Amino acid sequence: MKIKINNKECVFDKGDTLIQIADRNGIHIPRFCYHDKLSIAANCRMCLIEQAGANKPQPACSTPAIEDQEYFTNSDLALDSQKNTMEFLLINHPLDCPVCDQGGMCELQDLALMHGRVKSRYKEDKRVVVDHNIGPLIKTNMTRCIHCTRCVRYGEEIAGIKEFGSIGRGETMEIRTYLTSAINSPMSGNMIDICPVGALNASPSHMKGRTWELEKVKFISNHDCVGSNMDIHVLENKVFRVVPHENNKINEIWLSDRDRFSYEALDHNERVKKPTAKINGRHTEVEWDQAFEIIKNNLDSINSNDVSGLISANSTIEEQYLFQKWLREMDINNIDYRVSQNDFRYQTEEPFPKIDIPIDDIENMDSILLIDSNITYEQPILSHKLRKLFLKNAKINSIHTYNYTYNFDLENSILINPNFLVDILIDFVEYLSITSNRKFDIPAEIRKKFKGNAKKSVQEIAKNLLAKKNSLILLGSSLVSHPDYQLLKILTNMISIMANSSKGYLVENCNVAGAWLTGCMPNTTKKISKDKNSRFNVLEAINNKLDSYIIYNLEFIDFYHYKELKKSLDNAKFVLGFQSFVTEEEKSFYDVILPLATAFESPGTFVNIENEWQSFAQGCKPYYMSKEGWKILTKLRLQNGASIDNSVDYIDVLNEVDSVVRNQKFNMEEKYNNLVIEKKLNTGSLTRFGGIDSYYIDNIVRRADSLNKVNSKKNFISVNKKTLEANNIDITKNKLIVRQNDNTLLVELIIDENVSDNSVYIINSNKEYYELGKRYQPIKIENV
Amino acid sequence: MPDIKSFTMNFGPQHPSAHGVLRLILELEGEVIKRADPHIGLLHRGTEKLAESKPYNQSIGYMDRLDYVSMMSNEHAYVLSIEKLLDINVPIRAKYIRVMFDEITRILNHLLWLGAHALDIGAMSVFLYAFREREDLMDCYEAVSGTRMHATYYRPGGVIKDLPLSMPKYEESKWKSKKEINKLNEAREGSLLDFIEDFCSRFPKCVDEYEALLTDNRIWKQRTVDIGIVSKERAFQLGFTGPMLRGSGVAWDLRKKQPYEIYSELDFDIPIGSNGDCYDRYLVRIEEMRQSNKIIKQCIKWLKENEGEIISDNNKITAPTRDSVKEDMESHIYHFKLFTEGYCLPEGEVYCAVEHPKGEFGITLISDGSNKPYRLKIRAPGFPHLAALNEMVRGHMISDVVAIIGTQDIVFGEIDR
Amino acid sequence: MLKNYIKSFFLLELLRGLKVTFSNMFRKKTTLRYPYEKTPQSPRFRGLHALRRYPNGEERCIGCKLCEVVCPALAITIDTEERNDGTRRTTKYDIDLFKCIFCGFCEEACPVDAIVETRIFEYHFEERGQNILKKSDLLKIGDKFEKDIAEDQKAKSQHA
Repeated sequence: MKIKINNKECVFDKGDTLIQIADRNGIHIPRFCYHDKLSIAANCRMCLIEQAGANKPQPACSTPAIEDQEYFTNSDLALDSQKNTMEFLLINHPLDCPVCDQGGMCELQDLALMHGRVKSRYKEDKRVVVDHNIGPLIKTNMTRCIHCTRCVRYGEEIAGIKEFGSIGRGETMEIRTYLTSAINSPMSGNMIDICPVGALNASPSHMKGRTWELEKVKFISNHDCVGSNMDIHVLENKVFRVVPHENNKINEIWLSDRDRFSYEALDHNERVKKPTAKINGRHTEVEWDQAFEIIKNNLDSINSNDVSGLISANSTIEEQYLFQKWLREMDINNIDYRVSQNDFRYQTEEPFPKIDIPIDDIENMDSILLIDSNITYEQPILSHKLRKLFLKNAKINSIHTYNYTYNFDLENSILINPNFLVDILIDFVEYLSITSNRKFDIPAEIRKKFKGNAKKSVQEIAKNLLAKKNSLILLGSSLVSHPDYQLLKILTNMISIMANSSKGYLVENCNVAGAWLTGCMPNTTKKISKDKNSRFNVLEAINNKLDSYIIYNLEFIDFYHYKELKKSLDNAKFVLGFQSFVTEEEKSFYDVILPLATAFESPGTFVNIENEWQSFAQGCKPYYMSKEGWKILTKLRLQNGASIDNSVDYIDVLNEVDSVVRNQKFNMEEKYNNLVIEKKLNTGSLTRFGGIDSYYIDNIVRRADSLNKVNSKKNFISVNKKTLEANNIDITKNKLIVRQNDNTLLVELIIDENVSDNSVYIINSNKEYYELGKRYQPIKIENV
Repeated sequence: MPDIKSFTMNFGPQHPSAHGVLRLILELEGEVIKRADPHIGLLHRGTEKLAESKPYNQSIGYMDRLDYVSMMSNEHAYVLSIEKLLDINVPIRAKYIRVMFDEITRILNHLLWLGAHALDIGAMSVFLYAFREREDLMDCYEAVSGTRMHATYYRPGGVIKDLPLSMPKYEESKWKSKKEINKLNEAREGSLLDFIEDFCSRFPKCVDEYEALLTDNRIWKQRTVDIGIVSKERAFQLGFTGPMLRGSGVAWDLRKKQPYEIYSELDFDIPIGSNGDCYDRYLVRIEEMRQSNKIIKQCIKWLKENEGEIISDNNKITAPTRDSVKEDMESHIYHFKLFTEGYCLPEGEVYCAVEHPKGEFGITLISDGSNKPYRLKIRAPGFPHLAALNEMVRGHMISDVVAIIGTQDIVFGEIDR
Repeated sequence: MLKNYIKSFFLLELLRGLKVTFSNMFRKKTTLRYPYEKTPQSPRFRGLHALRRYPNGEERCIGCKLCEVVCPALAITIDTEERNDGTRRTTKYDIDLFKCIFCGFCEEACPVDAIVETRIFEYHFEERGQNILKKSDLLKIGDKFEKDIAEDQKAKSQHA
């Protein structure tokens, strides 16, 4: 079908609106309320265009094209209507440009310039709207609002925020939260981007700089496994703000608040500013060369088998590659990245952490099974994809240990105590082995566990998975620390094979796949290491109390075995840290700390969960005296006599990583030798569980001020009523004592029926919780 | 026979007659010039490149600093080229103001040239008299723009401020009696236009004085007549423009040949020389001053009779008034956008030239559609003139080099850019 | 022909010129005894910069950085912060007088009439670094000459 816009012939499909056709053909039509990711509201009236023969101008955003009609976007009628609309919009707009953060990138300014009148005819007083606090991330200035309702529609449609909308009519219309409360969504920051004026601004960068001063560098998100594309805006070598970079395969045009605001941590006062070394028991600032010399002397004097190198899965793949190479060149093979993991059974066959389908393919699924995943807060971008599915009527099911808040509704859900997570998956396997037509050789060890009475809800979910053609099973990222993580993965794999579904193991860190590929594990492919001896994984390295530990970009609370680690470090002769941030307490454990540039300040590559390699350039120069990881590691290798060209630069490193690592054969068959189906998690009593607060997951986010103000309630636990009664807790008081081993903590009690029986739900958002004890361990609750 | 080599001498760049920073390598045979090799670039500031990194309006101030004795004429070429590409209308009053100031600038330039040229050749007092008149014209510059030289007064679309209705006055001091002050302030009682009118009535007499000192003076004639002759044909071939070309007898003037602004409505003549020597060029310039005076008078008459806008009301290009910026949202936005980003020119290439006191001053502007020029090329009239220096001085004496540099009216701001 | 010889012989044209110079000896001097006397100065004069305040003592500058971005010579450097009352003020407002070309764009750009170019043109520096006017210096100039500045601003707006 064809129409003519401005005498240009344009092809369209039935139902296409004029603005869509014009956009496709590069014809500009001004708009405020229309946004191609949101529904059509047609309330700004900026996009009025002329239809040949019609006596009134038509809003292009909501008018479907009629075949063989002629339209004009630049005729006198169209331009006049746009001018008049613009004049009305500006009547109540305050003269704020000089103090407005949006000034310079404001759609209202741009369109006023292109489509507005030169002078206003309105001399009366302007309207003033009172601002309400809607949280620490978004600064409102609603007098500037032009009521396009993009934010309201974004909230309703994309983020699933129901408490934000418009109140009143006409002159008294206001956009605000219905109650004076903060917006609680992990994706709220996108409202700032879609607001065409300066009504919604980013709080952390409020009034700190002007748009024209900024330099833009593309960057990849480093707080979840999705790898959202974003642009960092740099002002005078400091990250000023972060905005999404359009990538329709991954994050579309959205960004989670965590990725958007984490940059605030970069000049936190716990930042390591200079290399320091412990001299006579005290940390002293030293020069880089001096630090390198101390490192060499110490590592040379220690048996290489007594050294363990532990690297973060949040580091770039170049750092990970060089880290293991540096260590392996010194014959140190006790390398690991799985610091939050607890289950190292079958570690020789550690499966590649990957989702089977590309991220944008999630939108084509018709059935989803979430296994204990707090996906809305942990991977907001994936959650957004699921929300899209939900709006398309796909079925989303969940087996979880806590009734997490999602921005979509669940079809079936099973709330279960974390002790029985393995059992319920076995139920699935059992039910599927009967109903599925895809036969699978179920190991005898699992068959032994069959009980023959799968719950009705299990049957429902399994049927749902089987019935739909495209289904996906996602294993939640907080399960990484589950004592039966390997078992859960095996069972998930079996279910996915029998249900003919895709599967994905979600992880907490941004570059787990990179760490796996570069062989930052004790047993790795021959291509990386020819070492055949059995080496220590992180758990063994901690338990064996080695002489030396090298810790790269990790804080102690990143370790599942937090306390054991501290003990081992205390005993070690030499502890080396490559750190961006270090607390005073942690500092005392280290002998040498090298200041490491964060990913924001260094070039690098992250491999996301779909094995997509995404490289980014250096955003800004490293803060203070810190240096990029690949530079430090190259220098250390040079010191050890490695034959490296002195002029090596980042691209050389990336090329080397690419050629060595990229085309590895993954061990995706997941044949489990010596399978022992034995549950490790079986406390038989009250169990502590719960993931890490999404704003506490890594060393950067933990220090981002505004993000940490979002959840102001820090010291609390959730227990359901039944459990409380069983433990004789006085529920009239809102405080109680929790006890793990010998440690106690006074906390606030929240009676929460979203928690399963016989378990205590603690969101790890505070160091005190780590001091208390580990997750998935018995816990006691006592009256105050 | 011994091999006699010519003597090579360095002239400038610190020579007072080198008009700034000209460095000449002179090859001499005795006192006769065999070859003159001008070295340029000592005042290069990269104006063309600099302009590529700034929104259009921000380069106006740099145009003043090209030929720094005819400031507003430089600006004029620049704003004209922008206006041509933007295709906007300039209010008629702004056109008159611009023409008036162009001609004031011409007088300013020629006065400086006259004084310096005479001084170089040995006549001291002309310099002092020329500067006396320049002072009044500088006051006009200051009254209208706020600076005595680098005005930054023209804007695409017009001029930035209207002509002031009053002139600043001398203040009483113990050194001057009230009567003396009143006498000094006589011309300053009215508006700027009155002040200029007063100047215009005085000025022809001043030119007569200069002529009395020089035109028939035998020393002056001995130094200039038949020095640096350029034939009509050669002047064309060498790319001469302005008085240099007219001195050789070509009646070429952009104000007549391709009238811009309102020159087509004004009555003035183009003086031309006959021999193409330094003396002819002197006569041409003297007459140009008289003609400029005539043009200014016509402008004053028009400006006094007609009110009107001084800058285009297209606020997408020109700044809104200060009052409206504080009241009116549209103006507020336009003001903000104009001063942060400037405006975008449509894609294209344009050449615009004005009859600058020194010749044809042209701006080539290539726009890629953004708010900064993709390329800016300045056609400085002095450059081809200086390039012809070798030809003009060959066979003359060393002392004639000074006369020829003087007659070329070299200013290094525009040549080195 | 003969006339020319006579003219030439009696140096008539030279005498005519000398008459001009001689008569000037008896004319009023056009020069002034600077610094005791000064030439008239336009209210539009663009000299040393100043930052102004509102009559209640509050600084006008809101740190919008329009002057910084419009400055062709990049002479202005501004740092800002949000004050407790929610308004933005500058913490640093430096003008490098060695860079400044006195084009007056900063004054034109300022939406609150904070930065102005005053009539002051007689100033000197004694030490390296004094060429950079700090915010405090600029405010001091503004405070000292506020009356004159206000008058000049008024004159400018009325084209007087």
